[in-house]
Amino acid sequence: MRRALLTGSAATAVVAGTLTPALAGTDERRCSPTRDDVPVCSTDGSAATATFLDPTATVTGARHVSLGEQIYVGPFAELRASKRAPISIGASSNVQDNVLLDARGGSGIQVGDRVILAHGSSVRGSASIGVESSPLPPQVEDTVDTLEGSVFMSFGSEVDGATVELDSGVSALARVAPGVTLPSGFLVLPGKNVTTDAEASDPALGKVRYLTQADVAFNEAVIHVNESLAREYTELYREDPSAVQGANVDPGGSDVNPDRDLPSFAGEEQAQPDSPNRVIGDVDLADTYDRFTQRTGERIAIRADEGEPFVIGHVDRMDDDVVFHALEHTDVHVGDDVRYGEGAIVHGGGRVVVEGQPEEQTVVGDRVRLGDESVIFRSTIGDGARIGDRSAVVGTDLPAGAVVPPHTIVLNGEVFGAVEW
Amino acid sequence: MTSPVLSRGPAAALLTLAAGLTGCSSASGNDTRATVPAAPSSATVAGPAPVLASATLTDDVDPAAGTWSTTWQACFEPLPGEEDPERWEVQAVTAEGVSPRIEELPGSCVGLQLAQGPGAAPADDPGRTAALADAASLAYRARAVRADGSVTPWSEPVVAGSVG
Repeated sequence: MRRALLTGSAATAVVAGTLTPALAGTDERRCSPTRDDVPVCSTDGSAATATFLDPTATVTGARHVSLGEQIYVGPFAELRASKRAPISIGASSNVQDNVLLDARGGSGIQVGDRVILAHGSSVRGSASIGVESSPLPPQVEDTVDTLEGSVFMSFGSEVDGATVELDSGVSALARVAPGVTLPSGFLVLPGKNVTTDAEASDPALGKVRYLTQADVAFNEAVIHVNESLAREYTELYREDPSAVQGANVDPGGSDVNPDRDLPSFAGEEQAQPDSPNRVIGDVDLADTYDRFTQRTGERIAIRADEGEPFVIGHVDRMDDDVVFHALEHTDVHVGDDVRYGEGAIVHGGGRVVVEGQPEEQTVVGDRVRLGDESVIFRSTIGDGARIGDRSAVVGTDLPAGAVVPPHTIVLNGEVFGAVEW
Repeated sequence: MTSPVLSRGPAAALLTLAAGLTGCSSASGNDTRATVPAAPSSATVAGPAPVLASATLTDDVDPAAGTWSTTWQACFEPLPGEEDPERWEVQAVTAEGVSPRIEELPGSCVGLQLAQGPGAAPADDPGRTAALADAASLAYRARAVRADGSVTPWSEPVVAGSVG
């Protein structure tokens, strides 16, 4: 696609309850995303260290939110804090699309450095992620180099009034329940609800596994990618504030995605900065902009700032909080007349190119029904298939007409288990 | 903390991948990470992209310790007729994007621990199933660096855990 021309008006971020000037806090390398410090929250003016909040991110009690450097906050993320329940997020962390951090009702949420909060995940109440740590179990200590430390919370996962220590993780649609501590060196398995400390630290009980070197390597790469996004969106905003609004260009600027591409509606490339949803980059929608708007809800993030293009057929209905994202060169193709439930996540990635094996891409066929909070990741979904509410399909080819019951995890073509909460 | 599991097989050709990305981990005799900086981004890109030579997935059981582990290794090679490279570089590719970091391989192979757990039957462990599914969100692509400093295009990314 051609490089887009940028024009525009001033950006406006959604900041509620923030009538006072920004307070830098006790650490001069942190800032609060008050009215004058969004969407770029910077302590030294440099894009290289700036934190970027998508203008659609919502911050409540911004004076009581403290952000480190190089944080990327994605579209429609929500940070809800108060004087009695502050939120702090450490450097190089990321808060991806439709993530919720709601500290109200608790004593606050602490998120450490290098924590990944992936699409649709949530943190509630009095919670700590990636701040505390304990000695790694011997199996991990002897085999894994944790580098600078990290935590990964996957799609649709939840930490509710719990502690998630450094060098741990929570898989897709899994949960850590109130009062539980997930210790360093363990990851909660997909869909599992960890309700006791024993379950959180004993793989034999079937809810957690040991951290591996692959987990660390994955986290390293994701952290670097999102640091880049914070910088590139900052630069895009400073070039043209309207360019980070609505349906618009991706920031480009990287060697893998150097160009700024506009989305297209019914074959016509166009920027729609006034759109309440975010459609970013090389997204090829079959619908006209008007029809797409009529068929879609609120807080929808279709973010082709890495993978492109996304090809999306005529939408039957797209409810609120839907997320699209994908890896570079990962073509996400969705057919016609697909119905997307509230909070559904369609994510490309994991393309296999081993000789003699077919490539795997994320393809959703015609007339597919995606349930509320369902997850499609690295999978092919046949025409007319139905994915139940809060189910995840990962690394799987589903035939036409297949039915995945609600609250079911499907990994690599087999039912892995139930979503327990 | 190092990754001794990565020292099996052709140890000199394996990379302690994650450690090599930052170069800040403690060292040991098994640590094979590279010390030479990556080719500059302005390096001339020429010739065909390298290809995957082999990819294997190996389960090891340690009865004495009552544990198992699963290790993946992928090796790259230039196309026939291409000169042997001076060195190899890799870049991590994830479902969330491509890491800007480029890391040098000490040989032509990537090695990575993908799963581990208690007991002696990895095939029956749901933790292994989940770990391999998670690992498939991670891939690596490689390029060769020639003696004159020029580089090949990147190979196609190879998903962690894939075999061939």
